[in-house]
Amino acid sequence: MEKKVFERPTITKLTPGMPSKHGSGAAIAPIRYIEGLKIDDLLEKYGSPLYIFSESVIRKNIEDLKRSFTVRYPKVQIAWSYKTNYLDAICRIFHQEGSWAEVVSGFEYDKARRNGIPGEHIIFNGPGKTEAELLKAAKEGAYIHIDHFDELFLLAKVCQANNVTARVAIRVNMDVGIYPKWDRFGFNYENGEAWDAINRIMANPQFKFMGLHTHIGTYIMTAEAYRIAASKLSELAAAVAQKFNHYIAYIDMGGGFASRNTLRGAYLSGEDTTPSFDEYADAITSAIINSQIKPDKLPAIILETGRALIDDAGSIAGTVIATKRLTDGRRALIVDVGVNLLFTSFWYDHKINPTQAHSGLVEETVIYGPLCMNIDVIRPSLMFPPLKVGEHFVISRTGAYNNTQWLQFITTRPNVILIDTNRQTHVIRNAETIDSIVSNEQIPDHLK
Amino acid sequence: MRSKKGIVIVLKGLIRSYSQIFFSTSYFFATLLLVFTFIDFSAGAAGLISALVAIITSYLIGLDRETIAKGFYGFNALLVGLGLGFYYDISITLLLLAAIAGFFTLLVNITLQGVLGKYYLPYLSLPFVLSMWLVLSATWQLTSTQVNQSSVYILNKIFDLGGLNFIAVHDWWLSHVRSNFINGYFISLGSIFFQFNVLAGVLVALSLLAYSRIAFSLSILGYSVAYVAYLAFGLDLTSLGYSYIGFNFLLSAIAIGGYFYIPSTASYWWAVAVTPVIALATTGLVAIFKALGLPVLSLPFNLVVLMFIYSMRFRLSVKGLREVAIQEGKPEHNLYSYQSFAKRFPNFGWVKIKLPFYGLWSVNQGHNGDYTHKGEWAHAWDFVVLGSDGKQFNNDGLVVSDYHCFGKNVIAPADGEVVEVEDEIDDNPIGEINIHKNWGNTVVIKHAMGLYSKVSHLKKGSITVKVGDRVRFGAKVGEVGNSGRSAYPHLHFQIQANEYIGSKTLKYPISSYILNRAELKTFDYPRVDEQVGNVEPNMLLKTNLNLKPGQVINWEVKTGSAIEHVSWEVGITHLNKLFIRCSSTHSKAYFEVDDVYFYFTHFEGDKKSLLYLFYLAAFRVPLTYFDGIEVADSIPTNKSFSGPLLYLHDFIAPFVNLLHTRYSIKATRVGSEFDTEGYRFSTTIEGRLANRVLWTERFELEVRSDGQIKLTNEQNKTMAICKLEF
Repeated sequence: MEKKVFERPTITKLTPGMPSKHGSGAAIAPIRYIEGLKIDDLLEKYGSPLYIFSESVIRKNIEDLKRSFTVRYPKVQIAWSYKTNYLDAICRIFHQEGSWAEVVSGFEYDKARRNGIPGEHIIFNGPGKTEAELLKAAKEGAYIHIDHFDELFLLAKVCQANNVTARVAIRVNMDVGIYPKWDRFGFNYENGEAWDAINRIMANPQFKFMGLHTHIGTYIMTAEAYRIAASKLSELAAAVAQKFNHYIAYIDMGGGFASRNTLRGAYLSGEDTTPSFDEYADAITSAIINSQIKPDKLPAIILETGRALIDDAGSIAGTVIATKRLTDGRRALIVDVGVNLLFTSFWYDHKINPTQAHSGLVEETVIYGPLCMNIDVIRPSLMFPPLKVGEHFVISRTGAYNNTQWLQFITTRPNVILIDTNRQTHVIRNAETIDSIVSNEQIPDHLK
Repeated sequence: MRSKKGIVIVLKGLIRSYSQIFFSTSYFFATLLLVFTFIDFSAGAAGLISALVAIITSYLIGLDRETIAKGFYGFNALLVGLGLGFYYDISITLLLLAAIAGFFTLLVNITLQGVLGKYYLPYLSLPFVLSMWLVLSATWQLTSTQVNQSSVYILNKIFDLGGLNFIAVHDWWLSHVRSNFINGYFISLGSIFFQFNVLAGVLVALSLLAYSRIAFSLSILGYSVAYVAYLAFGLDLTSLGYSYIGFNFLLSAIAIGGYFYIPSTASYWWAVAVTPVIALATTGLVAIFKALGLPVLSLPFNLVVLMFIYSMRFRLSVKGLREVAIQEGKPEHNLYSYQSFAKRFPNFGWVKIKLPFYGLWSVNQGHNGDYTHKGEWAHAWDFVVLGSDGKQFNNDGLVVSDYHCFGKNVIAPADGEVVEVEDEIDDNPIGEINIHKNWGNTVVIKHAMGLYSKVSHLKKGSITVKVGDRVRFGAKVGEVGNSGRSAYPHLHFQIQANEYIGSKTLKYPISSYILNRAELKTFDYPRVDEQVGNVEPNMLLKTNLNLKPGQVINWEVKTGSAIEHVSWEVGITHLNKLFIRCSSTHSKAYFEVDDVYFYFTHFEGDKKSLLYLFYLAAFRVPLTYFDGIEVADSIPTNKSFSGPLLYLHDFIAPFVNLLHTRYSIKATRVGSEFDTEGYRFSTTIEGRLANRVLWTERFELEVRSDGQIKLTNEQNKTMAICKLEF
């Protein structure tokens, strides 16, 4: 029989009568294993904190997304959104599964090329492309998604000066009945800006007008918004076919599918409210199929889904550094994972579980990161078991954005490991050292 | 212009009247025969006049030009004329008589065509028999005709033809070939043209051999069997009096063994079996007609062959002996075309039923499955969606929504009308089944008379069609559920002959699908554990290769440094068969375009033409594309082989086909997936004797998005480019 763990005493408010709508308090089950490997062992081997990615979850997610669309629509292409997570190993898993690359900067473009992706499988988005980047992308046959008229003029100039043709699409923004309405990217649909841009593109013989792109927002909790977006783009496509007898090759629905994380301030858990891939797929495909586009000229659908494919494949494991009692009586835990590593804690109420069993009693706790900065709060308030110093915990669904938006702030960043489909672990990014941080620094002579 | 066309038709018809006696439309064969008829000048001249009158009359009446040009209206009159010329010496009266007889024979001909045509029977040489009797009986009343005696003085005639040399050959023959059997054969053959001598027989035999090995061997077969049959009756076929009618056996053997039926072991056996019957009929008829003083001519052949064809039509199932569907006029052509057609299009003209879903699904239970596809319901499929882990579900699979296929769209597998809908049955929890309403929610669609498809176990309330709706292929009819006798979500699909839910299944193939992402299948049956999906047509290929009647295709052909321009036009026959016609060589290549392929069905004409090269290169082009796509086919033996090897092979072809031509085509994309410039096809054609490759031919065919087609043949150093106009 296992020896019972000592737990420090806890004060719990006694609530008589019927439990509230939140139930009678939630015991938090431990998560001991990821892909069958003990988290404590991984922390011991690779240090704490630690980013852990599961290859099989990534592959399964891609497959689920692909299946949802291909049983409904003939041509579907996924393009991996580099900004969501551009660790090379992660990108390569996506590319192995047939995903193209969706990049938003010259840096990401070059990263995709380094990962063996040919230009003609790269979608180049973003409002800040430089002249040199545009030229390179045009020459390599990438799909350049134009964001604004100045980019359109710049690209036209680049093409003319270098005598190259470019494969282009435009990003379109529109009202799809949700808030916030994103109108800072692309050309507006309702006020005719998009149609104007299309006419200018069709008039330029150095542009090959390939498709239409929209990205209605992020973490969209209703599939209906996609139905509206898809049908508006289809109307544009049908108008192009009618006016120019030109059939676009694809409609790019962008990303924005919600993952199952719970947004900060959300009333219900993300696990219950997030639409399934099937719901998104049904909305998008039926809108295009039911549109004015001729059945034999249906464009391909491109998906730039990022978050929903990678979020639940990544976790961060860490260790309790200290425990505290705050002045208002709440418990506080200081852990070694801060907002420098978990940028998404600004948006989400991340799911945190201990890696070892507890008695089931929980008390209101604040979880702080290790940074000497007031903003470093991982969870401002949650019901959590009384972890001791040195005990481990794991934060789930951290795969999206945390390895791209992480901050080199105050300290270095830890190891990132991948558990492959045979449950072998691989370091896919080494923990930083001071050298990796200062290597680009230079000291003027007078300070030496 | 119009009269010039008329003259051409008349001339064609006239010439081919000669070969038509042997069921042939070959000009070469016809010309030889025409010359031979003039061995007896009187017969030759009378025959020619008679046939000419019949043909011209048929043209003036306005009968079908095509039929006239093939000689169908001339050969009976020709025979009557030959007969007249044989019996009577040449004179103005004879020629006049021949002309009148020609006209008369045509009338008999058309009448019989009408009468027998109702039974889909040929009139053979029955018009000749009837007219000949009448004309012979009539001429006995005439005094101005003189009996032709040249056949009595054979040496005189041979001298007239070829002088002393021919006499020497004749003497040599007489002294060396003494077999009555052999001479009897030649006399029988010659007697078809009223040339009762060995010389004419030998010449006809040689031309027959040159024309068709199968017809030649059948003529020998018929003659030999008849010879034996007569011996059995105690009679000698070679004796005078019988040898005059020996041709009956030859013609019957050719008709049954190789013309009206596909030459095969079965047809040869039937040719053998029918011969003694003709012998009996001949002997009997000779006795009967002797009383009337009339020769039986080809009556036995006509009667027996007609009755045989008619009787065979009453077979309940066609096995062994197969009637020729499209008459190409030569046993070899019919045979090779049939062999190729039977192999290439066993399901030609079948209603095309595809898979009732989009995307890639797995067969969970196939025909004669382990679970429920047994007995009267053996020919059904159960489809599910599998993950890459081989499982049908995520999580634990304890609720229906865990299953990948649950709620996925079910589509109409072909155009049709909804005839039965059931949509009120609850979906079962996992592991439970409903044995009272065992089919669950179901849609039955009628695609043709006696051809229905049924999808079952659909989700309650998901069905989007109602009885009486017309649906097209691909229209959503409902969603996969778990109703009825279904323990976990799956899609049951079956073809049946009745409209009822619960009807027994019909074994019927899926018209086209892609197997395991790698192989294109047509008219086949998905088997258990196979991953299958519908074929997605490629619009670039489909638009370019969907050639329309009236379309003109202009090629620029480069051979070495020479440049030449070739023009084709797409046409269509009255039977809705599309063809490409080369304007300069008049070659024709017949093609079809369906959902999956552009393919050629037939070629006639010049094998040196560009059209022939295109026929080879684009023999079967897939109109869909996926990486690594490769398609194989086989080109008919007589369209790909030629020369002595094919000649020799013709003798054995009815029994065993040793010459095969394997065609394979691979496609690669030019340009990127979303910005495709075209597709490049590499064709390899291998001519094989048994399994040995005798020759290989390679082509490159490029179909570009701007409508350009490029054909390259390395061996011939030919490169041709055309630009399609839409």
